Amino acid sequence: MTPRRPEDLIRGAVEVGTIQGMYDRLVQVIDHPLSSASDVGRVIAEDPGLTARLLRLVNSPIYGFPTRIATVTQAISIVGMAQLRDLAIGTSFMRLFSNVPADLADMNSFWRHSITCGLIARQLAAGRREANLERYFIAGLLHDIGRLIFYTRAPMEAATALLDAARTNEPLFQVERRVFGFHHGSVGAALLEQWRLPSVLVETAAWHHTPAMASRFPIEAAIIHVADVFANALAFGSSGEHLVPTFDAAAWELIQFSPEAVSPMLRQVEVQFEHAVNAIMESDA
Amino acid sequence: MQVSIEQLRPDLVLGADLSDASGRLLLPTGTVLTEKHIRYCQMWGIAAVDIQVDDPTAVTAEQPIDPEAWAAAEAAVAPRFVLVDRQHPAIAALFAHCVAAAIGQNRV
Amino acid sequence: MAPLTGIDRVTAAAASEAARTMNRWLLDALDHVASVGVTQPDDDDDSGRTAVLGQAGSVIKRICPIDGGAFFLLDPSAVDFPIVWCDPPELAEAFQEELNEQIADGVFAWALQTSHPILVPRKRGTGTAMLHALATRNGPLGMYLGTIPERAPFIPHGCQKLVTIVLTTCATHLRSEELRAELRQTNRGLEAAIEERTTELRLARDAAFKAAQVKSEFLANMSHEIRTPMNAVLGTVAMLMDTELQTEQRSLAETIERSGRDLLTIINDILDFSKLEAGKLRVESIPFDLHDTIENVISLLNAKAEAKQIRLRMKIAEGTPREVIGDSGRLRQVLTNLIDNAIKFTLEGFVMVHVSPKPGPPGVHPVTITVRDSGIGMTPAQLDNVFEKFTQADTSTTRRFGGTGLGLTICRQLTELMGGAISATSEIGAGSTFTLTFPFKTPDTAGPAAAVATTLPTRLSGRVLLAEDYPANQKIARWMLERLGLHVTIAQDGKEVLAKLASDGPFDVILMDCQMPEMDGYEATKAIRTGNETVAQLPIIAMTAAALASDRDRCLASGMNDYISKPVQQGDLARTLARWLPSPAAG
Repeated sequence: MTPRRPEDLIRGAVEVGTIQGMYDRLVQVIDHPLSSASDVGRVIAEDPGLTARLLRLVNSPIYGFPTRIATVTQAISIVGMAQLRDLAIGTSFMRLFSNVPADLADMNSFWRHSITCGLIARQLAAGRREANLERYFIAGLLHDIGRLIFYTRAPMEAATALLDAARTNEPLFQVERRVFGFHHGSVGAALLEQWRLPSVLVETAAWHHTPAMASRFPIEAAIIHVADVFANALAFGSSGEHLVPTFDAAAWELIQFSPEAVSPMLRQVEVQFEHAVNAIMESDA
Repeated sequence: MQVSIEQLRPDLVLGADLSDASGRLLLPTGTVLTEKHIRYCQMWGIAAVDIQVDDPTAVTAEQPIDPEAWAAAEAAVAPRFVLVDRQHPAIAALFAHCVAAAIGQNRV
Repeated sequence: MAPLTGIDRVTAAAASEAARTMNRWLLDALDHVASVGVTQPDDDDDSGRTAVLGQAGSVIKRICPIDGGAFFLLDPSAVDFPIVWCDPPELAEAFQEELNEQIADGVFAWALQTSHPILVPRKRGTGTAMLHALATRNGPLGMYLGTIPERAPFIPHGCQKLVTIVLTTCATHLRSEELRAELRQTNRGLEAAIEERTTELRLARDAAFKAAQVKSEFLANMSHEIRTPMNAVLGTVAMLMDTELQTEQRSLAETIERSGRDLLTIINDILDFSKLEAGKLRVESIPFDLHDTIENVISLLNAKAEAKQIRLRMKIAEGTPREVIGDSGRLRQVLTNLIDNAIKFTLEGFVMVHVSPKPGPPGVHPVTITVRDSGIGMTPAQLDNVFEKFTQADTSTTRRFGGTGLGLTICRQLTELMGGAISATSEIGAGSTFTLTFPFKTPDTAGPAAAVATTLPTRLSGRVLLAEDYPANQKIARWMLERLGLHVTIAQDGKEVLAKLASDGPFDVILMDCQMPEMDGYEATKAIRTGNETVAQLPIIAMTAAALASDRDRCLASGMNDYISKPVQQGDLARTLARWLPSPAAG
């Protein structure tokens, strides 16, 4: 029996465990205007894996800060508090999926696609001089997370959808809609909402294939949409989509990015890509 | 010729317009660099700049693209673009980038 | 600012007090932040900019534990971010040195592209440097550098956010200042462009005036060049007709005479028209005999009407003033034109001129003159355009009846110049009526008769010195003068005038051609007026083909007494000379 709602799929799907507690405290600390970098640093330091991951990330060429950043407190004062919080949350939640059937999805490939999307989104946002670029990076990182729910909670239907998409040359998200009644965007949004992550992440996940539907964060959704299309074209990894998915020209209009800047931007992403993969995916041990 | 910021020295001449990440023109082509310009590059976080090379033989001639290889790469990349409009300027740029990347891979 | 404590250190007991403290602090800080850029800078770019920066600097000092701060603003032309404000002012050099180190280290570049405070250890001295870009969405405008004494300062991220807000507000103000300056620049550019355009237009207008002046000078010269030989032609024909001629010869001579006068009319039309266009034509206001003037015109045109077997009739109604003030010459011209036209466009029947008085305000005696014909008439459309320049009823009219098409335009303009009005009614095939109305004034004072030449003198007596360089004109003038009974001595130019005055005198009057070689009429007149007392008061009458009013003024200004336009007409000559010569001895 096919579940009827995304909520049915995510119920008890992922054991968030200590991450939820850490996230809640992080939010509490950051939401307090009198807290400082060292307060945030202290919360993050409770998770040595996260600390190492964040330091790897902020010292990578993605940031290109001239001198070595040795502590989370220092990282906060250089990268920014909200930015570091987003990095902490995004990279922590993405690690919750360990039980994905290997024959259904190559997790490595899945996250490579997600990181590509995040880096492109970050670059597109940088081109617009958006303030918190990490917000876009994380939105890209988590945009396809609904697919992991499909793979773990409904592997049979997920397999059917993958095969159908390959056979019909249809975009996977449309086949999902036929098979499940909704696509991975809705599932991902439901999951992120359940985790009480910022609503911009919920909305970009929900509407990254149909950005015109995003009402609260249209620009952010448009950026993630374009980044996802570009990431699928670069194909450094895949979340299951084997074609470059449908492209919304109106979203492109909305983000005001010059076509001439596309290739230079993608080359920059190519340079950053392996560093980001190493920083995020490397074992915390 | 790309020269990294550490290797820049006065009297070198810019071979291309120098812009920051957002496309703001910082220094125009043909600028004869002084210490001040080099410091300006540091201010804007410029990693490398295009420098004119006096000796034309020193210019590494760009490898002409083999039309056959290009066509082959296009044929390989095109099937993944069936769902999108390749006439759209953004997609056209994306497609060209992917084809070029595919050729680069072929050369290795 | 109250000392701040991290939330971890806040005990449960102190929680509510801490919340109150935090609230107070926040409101206080927000108050400071809200004050940035509230005072509008004046129009002086630099002082306005410094004021905004100073405000931002002092607000940051109130919300953060900094002991000094400086602003560095981007100057692309200087390829630098020079320091423009710092507190305390004497530390400018220290701030610059610190910044230089941060530039070399790459922190500056990092901060420039970031929108939150970057806190790094100071390179010069101990403590912490806080760098924050001064940027809008359009890009960086500059850099803020603050110095904090502690090595690892406790700065709540709320503070940092406020710093960002302050600096963003500040950058927005600077940007809008820049835009305002650009706007002012553009406005100045526009003003300059308008000024330039105005100058161009003024030059163009001056050039046009100059061209008009050159044109009228040219026309005056042309009129001189054409009138002088024309004078000779007409004068010679008159002399010829005064001799014994066979009938056929007389007819040929008459043809020459008529054609010559037609040509002269055309030249006069063109000249008048250009003078009217240039606003250079002036009308006189001197007393004259209205009845005589009209009768004179009729009698001159009678022959023409008779030749076409058209009845030319005139009626002057009872009560029409005789002596009026105006320009008899121009009135004659208008009437001649209208009646001549009427004759021209009438193939059979009559031309009727009717003169009648109209009631008017005290001192004004309006007179209406109608010229009615039984000619070909005009359609309403033709009638609409009849006073427009260069139009005749249709182009075929030109071929059939000739003329410049300027006659009626000139009539209207002259009539209006004289304060009158002209109108026309017409019916195709039945004829046309032109109506002139003039609000004449009459001489109020007694004795106007003396000024009005009511009769054409036919005999005069006296000695005339004629200055004229053109032989044919000498001949004609001599003939005309001798016919009037005058004794004539001829001088070739101004010098000879002076010589003849001394050798052949005394003379009663000098007829002076204005344009002569060697010494022209003006110079000669000046020499006479300033010379020998016995001749200094001699009446001098200018004869010139230069027919502009300004030429007349020039003649009078140079000391001449009167003026005759060339080609000289016997009547004009007689009338004018009569004014300056002693009356002929009775009998």
